[in-house]
Amino acid sequence: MADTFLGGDVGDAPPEPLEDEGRRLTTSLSTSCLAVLIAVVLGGLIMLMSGENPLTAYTAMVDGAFGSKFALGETLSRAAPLAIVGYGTAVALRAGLITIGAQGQVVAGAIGALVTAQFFESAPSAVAIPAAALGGALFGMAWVLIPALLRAHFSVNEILSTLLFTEFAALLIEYLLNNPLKPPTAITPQSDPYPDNGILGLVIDGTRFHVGVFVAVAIGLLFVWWVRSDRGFSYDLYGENPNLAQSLGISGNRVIVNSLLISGATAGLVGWIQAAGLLQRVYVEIASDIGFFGLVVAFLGGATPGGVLVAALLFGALQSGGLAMQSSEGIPASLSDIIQALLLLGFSIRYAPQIIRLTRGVMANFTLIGKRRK
Amino acid sequence: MSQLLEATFWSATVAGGLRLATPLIYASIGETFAQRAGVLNLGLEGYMIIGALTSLYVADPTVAPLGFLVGGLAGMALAALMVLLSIRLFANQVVVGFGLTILGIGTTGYIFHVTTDVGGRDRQVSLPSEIDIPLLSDIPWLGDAVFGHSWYTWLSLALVLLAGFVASRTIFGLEVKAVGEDPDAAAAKGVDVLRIRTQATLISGFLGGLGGAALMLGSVGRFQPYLTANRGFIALIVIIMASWSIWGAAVGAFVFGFFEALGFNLNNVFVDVPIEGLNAIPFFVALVILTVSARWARMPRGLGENYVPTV
Repeated sequence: MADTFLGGDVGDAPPEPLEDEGRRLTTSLSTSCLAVLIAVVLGGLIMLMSGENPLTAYTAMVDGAFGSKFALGETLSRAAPLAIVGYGTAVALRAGLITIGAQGQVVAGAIGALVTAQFFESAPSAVAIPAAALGGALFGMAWVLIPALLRAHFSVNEILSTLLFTEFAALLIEYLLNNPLKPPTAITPQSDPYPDNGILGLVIDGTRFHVGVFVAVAIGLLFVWWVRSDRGFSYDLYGENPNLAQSLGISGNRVIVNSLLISGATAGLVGWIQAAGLLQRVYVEIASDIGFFGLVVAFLGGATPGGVLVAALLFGALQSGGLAMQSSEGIPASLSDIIQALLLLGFSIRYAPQIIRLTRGVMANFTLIGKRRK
Repeated sequence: MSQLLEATFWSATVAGGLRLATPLIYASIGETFAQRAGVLNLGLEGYMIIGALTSLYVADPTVAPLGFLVGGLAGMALAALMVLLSIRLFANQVVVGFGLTILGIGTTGYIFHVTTDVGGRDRQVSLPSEIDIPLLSDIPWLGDAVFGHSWYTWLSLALVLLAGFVASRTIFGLEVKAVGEDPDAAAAKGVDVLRIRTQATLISGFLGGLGGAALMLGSVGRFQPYLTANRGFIALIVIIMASWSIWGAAVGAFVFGFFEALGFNLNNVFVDVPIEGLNAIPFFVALVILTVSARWARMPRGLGENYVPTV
C-alpha cells in the first residue's frame, strides 16, 4: 500500500532505510491502534475477573492522566525521564546493544548530581545547575564504563553486566542514604533537601511540571541530530552489519564503548532532573522503574525519534493515570504495568518486520557470552 | 575474626548457600534446556514470580506440594506466551522476554493487592522442616552443612540428576541440542524444530515456576512485590558460567548461593563493615565469573535467533 504511494516497484523495492518514518507511520498506524486496543481490552478483562468495573477504572485513568492541569503535569513529569532514558538506550540499541543498566545509572546520576550540587551550594545558580547536570551525567557514564569496556574487550554480555551494576547502585545508595548522606534528624533513609540554588523550578504552579522536563525535549532534538549525523550513521551501520562496518574502518570497540557511555550519560541526567526537579531530595527509590521502562520505551518506539516520544508519553500517561486510579478507585496501579507489558507483547508482533530489521543488528552483535562462532 | 577459623561458620555458610541456591537450581536447569534449544528466555524472572504467588495462593488453603506443582504450571502458562509470540509468531525473543517479566511482576502485584485487604490477614505458609538423613546428619560438621535440608532442596538435587540424564542420554536431549546449534541441519534431518523448541520452553517455564514456588514455600513464606529480586537474571549468569551444562548450572547456582550466604554470615564477623558492602559480594563474584567465563563459554550457535521454517 505504502509502496504504491512512493511509486516504487514493490518487487524490487530497495531495503527501507532505518529512519524512514513517514512511511512506517502510514503502514503501521492502524495496527498500532489495534495493539493498544487489545491491551486495553485484556486489561479490562482482568479487572472484570477481579470484580472491578473497567469503565470506571479507565475513566479514572484517563482523568488522572489528562483530566486537569495537575494530571497533565504528572504525565509529562513521568514521560520525560522515560523519553530521556529511551533515547539513550536507543543509541545503544541501534548499535546492536541491549542495556538494562539505566536503572543503576539513574541512581548513580542522582548521587552525582546531589554531591556536585552540595559542593556548589553557595555558587550562583547559573554555575550550580549546569555543574550538577554534568555531575549527574558523569556519574551515569562512570556506572556503565566497566560493563562497556568488558563488552568491548572481553565480549561480556552487557544485559547481565549492567544488571549487576544496577545491584551495586542499589546497595550503594542504600548505604549512602543510611550513613554519610543521611541528615541526623531523618528517620527513613534519605538525603538532605537538594540545595536551593540548584533546584529546577516549576513551570506551572500547582503541578509537578518542572523545568527538567525540557531536558527531554533537548535530548530528543539531539537524538534527531544523532540519527542524521555521519557518526550516528556509522553506529547504525555497525549495529546492522558489524563486519561491513569494520571493513569500512569503523572501530567496533569504539562504537560499543561510546554508545554505552551515551546511554549512561542520559540516564545520569535523569538522575539529576529527578533529584533537582521532581523530588528535590534523593531517596532510595529515586529510579523507581525508569531504567527498565526506558528500555521498553526504546523497544516500543522502534528506537526512532518519533516512536520513542510517543511511547514515552503513552507510558507516562499510563503510569500517572494508574496511580490516580489507585487513589480514587482503589484499583491497584500494577494494572498499568500489566497494560504496559501487554502493549510491549502486542507490539512485538506488530513490529515483527521492523524488529527483525532492527534486531538484525542486535542479533549480529548479540553474544550472551564470548564470541559468536559461526 | 577467629570465627572464620571455626568449622561451624563454614558449615553454616555451606548449608545456607544450598538453601539460597535451591530456587536458582530449578530455574537455571529449566533455562538451560530452553537455551540449549536456542531460545533465550528473558522472561524467567516473570515465570519465577508468578510461580511464587500461585504456589502461595494454592498452598495456603491446601497443602504445600500441591501449591508447588501448581506454581510450576503457572510458570509454564506464562512460558506458553513465549511459545506463541516468539517461536510461532517469530517476535524478537529479547523483547518478548522483557514483556513477560513485566507481565509477571505486574500481574502478581495486581492479584496480591486485590486479594489482600488493608490490615487483613496476610496469606502465608509455614516453612518446611528439615529432613535429617539418619547417620549422615550426625557426621560432625559435614552433616550440618550437607544433610539437614528441606525436601525442596532434595528434590532440586534429584532433578539435577534427572535433567542431566535427559539432556545427555536421551533422543530428546540430543534433539534439543541439535535445534539449538543448527536448526536448519536439524530440520533437514527431520527434526521438528518448532516442536522441540516449544517443549524446551515449556520445561523452562515449569521449572522456573517451581523455582519461584521453592523460594516462596521453602524459604520466604509470604508474598511481597518484586519478591524474586532479579534471581531470574542471576540464573542466566549461572548458565553462562556453566557453559550450558546441566551439572555446571547446579554448581553455579550453589556458588552464587554460597557467596550470598557468606555475605550474610560475614556481617556477624566484620561488624564494622557496612552490610551493603557484604551483600554486594555475590554480585561481585558473579561479575568476575561472567567476565572470566567469556573466555571458555561457548553458547549454542542458534541462541536468540528465531527459526522460520521454509515451506
